[in-house]
Amino acid sequence: MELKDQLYKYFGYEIFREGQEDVIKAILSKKNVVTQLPTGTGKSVCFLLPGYMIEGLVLIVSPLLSLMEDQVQQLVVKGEKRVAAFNSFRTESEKRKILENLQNIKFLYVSPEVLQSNYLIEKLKSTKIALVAIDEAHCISQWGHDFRTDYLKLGPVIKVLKYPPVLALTATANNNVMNDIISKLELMEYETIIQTVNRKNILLFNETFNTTVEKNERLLQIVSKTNGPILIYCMSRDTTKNLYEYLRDNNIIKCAYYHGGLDTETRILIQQQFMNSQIRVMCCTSAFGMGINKENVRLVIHYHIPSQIESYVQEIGRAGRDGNLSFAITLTQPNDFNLPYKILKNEFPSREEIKVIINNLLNEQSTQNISEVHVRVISYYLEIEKENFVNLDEKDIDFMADAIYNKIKTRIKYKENKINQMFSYISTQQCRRAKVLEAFDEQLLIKQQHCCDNCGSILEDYFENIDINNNLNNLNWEEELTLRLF
Amino acid sequence: MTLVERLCIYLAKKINSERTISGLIHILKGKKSAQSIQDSNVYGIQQFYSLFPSNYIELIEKTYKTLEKNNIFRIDDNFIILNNCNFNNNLIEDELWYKLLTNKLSNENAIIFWRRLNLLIQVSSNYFNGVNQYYPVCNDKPTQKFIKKFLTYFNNKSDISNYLYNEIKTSLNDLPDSYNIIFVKKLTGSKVYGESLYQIASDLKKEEIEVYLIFMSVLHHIMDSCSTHKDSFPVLNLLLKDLSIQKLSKSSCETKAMLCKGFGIDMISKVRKLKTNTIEDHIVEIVHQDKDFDIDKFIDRNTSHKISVAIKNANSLKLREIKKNLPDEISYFQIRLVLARKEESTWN
Repeated sequence: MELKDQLYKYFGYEIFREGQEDVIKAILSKKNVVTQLPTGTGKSVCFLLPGYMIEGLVLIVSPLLSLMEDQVQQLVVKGEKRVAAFNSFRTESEKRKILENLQNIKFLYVSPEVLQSNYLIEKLKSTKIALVAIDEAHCISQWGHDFRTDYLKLGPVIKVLKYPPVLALTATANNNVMNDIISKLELMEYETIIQTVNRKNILLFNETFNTTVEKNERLLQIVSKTNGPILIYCMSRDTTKNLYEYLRDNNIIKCAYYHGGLDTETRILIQQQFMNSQIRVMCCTSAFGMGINKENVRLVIHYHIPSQIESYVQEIGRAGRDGNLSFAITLTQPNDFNLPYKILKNEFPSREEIKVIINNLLNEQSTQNISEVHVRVISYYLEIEKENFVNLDEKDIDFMADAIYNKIKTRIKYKENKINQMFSYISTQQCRRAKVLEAFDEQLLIKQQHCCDNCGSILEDYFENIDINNNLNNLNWEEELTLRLF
Repeated sequence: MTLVERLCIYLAKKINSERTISGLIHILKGKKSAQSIQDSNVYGIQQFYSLFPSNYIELIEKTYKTLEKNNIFRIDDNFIILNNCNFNNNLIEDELWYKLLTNKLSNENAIIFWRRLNLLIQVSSNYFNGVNQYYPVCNDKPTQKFIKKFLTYFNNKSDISNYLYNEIKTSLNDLPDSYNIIFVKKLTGSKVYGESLYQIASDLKKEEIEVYLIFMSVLHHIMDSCSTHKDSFPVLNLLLKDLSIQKLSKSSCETKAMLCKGFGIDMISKVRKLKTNTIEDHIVEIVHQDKDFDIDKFIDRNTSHKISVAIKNANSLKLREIKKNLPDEISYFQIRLVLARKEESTWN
């Protein structure tokens, strides 16, 4: 059977998307592959399809628990029963059950943390492993936008598992990050398959406003003149709710808000309403979108500016997966530019806090009242630094705190540069597409007809008069019950 | 005044300045401690025990802060002291949802019942329409397992929708349309996913917490219908199976089992290596839970009567106040037993 027929057999797709086939062929010939595929390419097909064709277990490393759960659920929905997620959501007995049943599992999703468990590793050692797929591989690089210290331990794990074929996937990696991925995974031989990050069918716009009122009015206008599903990204949970109320009050009825603070049941309902087109406009934080594959999203609005261009590319990449013309718009206000810096400032501990945390960690005291993020950062650096000191007395701790503080300063500087890069995208007078590509060490070779505001595209030209069906359906409860039961 | 404000004042009034805010919050959250369980009974707010998930708890905490700022009450050493409040309890107790929240089956059980019903409706509606790939509206593993087993009772699974329709309709017919529409919109079928509480609240221009309370009260009403008229609700009744969450903490359960076998307090304390105080806590908890539990072993009629009188005279449910007027040989444990047996209604 040809590869294309396999694709149809397992996924119902007639054709591969750009890059998929190359990646899969390389895997089937037992090569290690490091790949950057643009957002919306269907990265999971790259490890699922080979999984069906090679004997053995496919181990998928994924950084986000909720994303992992979602991917497993989606496979189950499609009828694949030989799938499990092994992470801190599972109870001990569930974990044991998974491991006892390992020979019946084809796709095992794991968090990088659980790969530190000896018990799991021992089990994996005696299992035939077809492929180790590392999703969101940029997490492995400290120059990646979402550096996760646990990803650093993947290199040794691969070694212990006697070098099974590795596939590292990302949608957003510049050259630095790519090289870092390869070196940290200690891959000797590998093939890189890199596709452009350019999403040709997404047009790029920015608009700047003096007041929030003007910004909201424009938002309302754009939403009322765009046909199809819309995502509106905000930095804070409160904003998602406020915008929702604003839009509802202005007759945008098929609207909802979504953020990580909602309870599970509500999150499922809202996601599925969006998938099911009961909801057209979604006001959300970055928590929405991962694992949500809605083909016809027409427009992604950024009501706030993300703190790095990588996140921006990920988020606008949810538009236009059907290949049709789509739009990404940033709506900015001068004072928006402070927010990311403010968030960054809270992300890292001060010199004083560092010392407190070190003391607590060394004395095994509770760190309960300290930000969990801070503790995690410090304990990672502490592990490295500890080896350089013998006495661990007051003086050493001061030195250690200094050393860690310096590292953190470098990290803050790096993140500030990221914010600056994002802002320079916003304020540029030149082609926005070229600017995005530049951030990923690419060049825009061919000028597009539909490109960005700076290249002469005018948003109004794409406005449509749409018939928003604003009538709430006025079914009585018995009719609603019938609608839902049958 | 918003409903959440009314509710906060109402609850503060019920605990009569004798508990702290965090003590009250523990009740609303459903903390599995003897103290919280007893408090909810003693102060007559058992239907609020474990009623609110965390997002509403946050809202309630925030509301208490606002009310304090507005001088509705002051907080003294963490206790809520109402300022000359002429708040009428009927503002809450006349609400239909208040009357429906009977707590015959606990709120925790109501939530489990809801998860099962919610998933079952989605599953049966999809059977009815011949759809077999869809995203489950409830990803709770025990619930999924329960429904899987549940389905094996039916030969023709596309009939389940019909049964459910009739039974739900029969039960809801007792309630006003304004309640039913809230409940029904939460349901997920093959064609539409259910609406979240905040969406229903926007549609109806109501406070979200009110929608939640109404939703929970309808749920309790349905469970009530099923358990009182078993024959009229054969399918829904199956969903009540093994609703195992008892209000009793695990440790108290063990104590209860030993008491039933005839062990005394000292013996249990020795065997379980727990302080006698702890065992007494358990017993008080058990008495709250089980109206028929025999307490004659721990207290004679005469003492019981003395304590009852003292409680009336003290005009407070604080133990120290009550004990003041009693002979020394009567213990706190005995006072608590009497309090537990009589419950709030008798004192006011």
